[in-house]
Amino acid sequence: MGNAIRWLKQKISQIPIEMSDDDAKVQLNEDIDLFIQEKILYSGKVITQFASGHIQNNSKILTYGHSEVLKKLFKYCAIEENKSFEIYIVDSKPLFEGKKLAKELSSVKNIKCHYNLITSLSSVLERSSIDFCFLGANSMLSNGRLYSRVGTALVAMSSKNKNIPVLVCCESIKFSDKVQLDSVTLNELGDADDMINTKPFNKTGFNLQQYLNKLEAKKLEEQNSTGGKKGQQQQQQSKKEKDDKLLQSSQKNEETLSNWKDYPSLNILNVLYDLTPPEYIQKIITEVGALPPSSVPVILREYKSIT
Amino acid sequence: MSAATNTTSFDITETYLKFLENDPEITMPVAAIEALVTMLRIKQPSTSSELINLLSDSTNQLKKSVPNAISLSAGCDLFTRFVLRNTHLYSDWESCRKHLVENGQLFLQRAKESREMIAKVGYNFVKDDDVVLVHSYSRVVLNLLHYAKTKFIRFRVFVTEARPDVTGKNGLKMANALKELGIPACLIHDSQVGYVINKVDKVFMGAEGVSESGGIINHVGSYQIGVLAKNANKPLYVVSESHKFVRMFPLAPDDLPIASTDALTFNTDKEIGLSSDLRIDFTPHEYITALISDLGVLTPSAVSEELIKMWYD
Repeated sequence: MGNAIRWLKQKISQIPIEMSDDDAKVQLNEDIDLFIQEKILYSGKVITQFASGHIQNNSKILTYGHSEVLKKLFKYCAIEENKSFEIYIVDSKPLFEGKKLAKELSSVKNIKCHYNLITSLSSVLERSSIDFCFLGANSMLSNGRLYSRVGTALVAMSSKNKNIPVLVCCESIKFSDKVQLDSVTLNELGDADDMINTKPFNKTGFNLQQYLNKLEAKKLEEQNSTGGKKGQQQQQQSKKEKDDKLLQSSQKNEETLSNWKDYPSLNILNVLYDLTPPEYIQKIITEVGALPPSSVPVILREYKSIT
Repeated sequence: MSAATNTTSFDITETYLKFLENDPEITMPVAAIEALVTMLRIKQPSTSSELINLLSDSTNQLKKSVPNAISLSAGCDLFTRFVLRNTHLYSDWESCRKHLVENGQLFLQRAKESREMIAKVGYNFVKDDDVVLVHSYSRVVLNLLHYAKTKFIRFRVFVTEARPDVTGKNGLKMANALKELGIPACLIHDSQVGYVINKVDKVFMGAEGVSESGGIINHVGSYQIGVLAKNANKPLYVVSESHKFVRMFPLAPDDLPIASTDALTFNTDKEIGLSSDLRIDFTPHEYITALISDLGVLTPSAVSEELIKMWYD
């Protein structure tokens, strides 16, 4: 985003002094439209062209979170190129961005979607023979590192471990001449309450429920064989006790972390971005071509005059 | 009109093959560029758009006609790039065309001299009492080793047989050539590389093409040697002219655009013997220590930089 703002400032400074405000505004609007067309929309199309060669019929693709470019790519391959493939969407809290992607892609007929949370990533990689991992970018730094949604580095590292090539699709406008060595130096914090405000998970699991049902059935039999009404009353009482207990525990859950601010030694960290080292990335696909992560500064240098 | 184009397409491949035959020292991309320059001289296109069309038609023709087209396409793309860059430098079409043809000749001359430049840059990598491993037949590597010998560096060479080798034009030819130059050589099987890798000090390899990531496309077996060398901590030097840098970015050996996928099929028919159709493979950049080229000694990541500079709009 910094790049876009810098470009706009430069454009504003280039406006001749004689031009009236209204004319200048009209011209700026035109320039902005052209910028959006070239750098964002058109770049997306070119990236799609380059990257679609990797997706073949019956490919299995892993992706993380939600990226506009990748969504366009997947839709293009499924609809225009008529390829049928499977996508494994990995998602994480608190933002659950993958849900958006899953919703959109599941309505496309040639795509088979799988949705997983990042906690089950190792199982997904172990069981399914994934061909490629496509990741989106927030920005590419000058030392070849990928700055993207938190969790991306984990997905990239796990993929590399399983010899799955990691491909990043990124428009060249997102290239930054910043250099950052780790995720902690410069990052964004999200709202801490997002991490704890999830509905309490008080559903008893399937097995537990079966067991409880069996217990109750047994009790019923026993009591039916011994006493009549008294047994039923007892049953109802015990059921009520159980329900009460359940209710109490669920209420407790709601209380557990909602008053985290009262605990002086407790702090909740909701970090939004992380850094993926270049050794986990195989190839970066931009509208100027495919390049290794070490070539990001070269693109910045050579194409600076164009921006 | 169709008859004229027929003779053109006939000419381009014929010319290309003739260039390859006449000069045994020439490489495939250089021969391609020579053929294209000749075509420009003969055809004499009258407008720049006609030139560009002619060029793209001929390059497509060439690429289709030759089975192993990677280094060939590197040469063609390079020449196309050069032409496109220079067409708008001259307003007068005639002088533009003359300039192109002249520069084409200059480029060819430089390409022929590039092997000498590489030898001068790279001979220092061979030290006294070294044991060197080379893979298959490569004229650049041969030139480099010969130059090192003339500088009175004494070394020995293991040469891999480099199968599939139907006509004995690979390892056997390299070993004989080295022996003729007075360099002690030992011809080994490809399967013996793991055995000798610990006795070797460094590995030299040529390349058919150098990809954008810095990885190389070379005779099959190169990837194996790369992995073994990396494991044994022996440096692997790739020796290649800069006109072999190609705008490709394969992720794995099976990502190469060569139509030979029928080679690796499973069947229970005993009549079908060895699958000898796979001639090239891809060695990723992490196995390569340095690239010795006429632009100097480059790290694999510098290849991308050179390519981007070449193709910079």
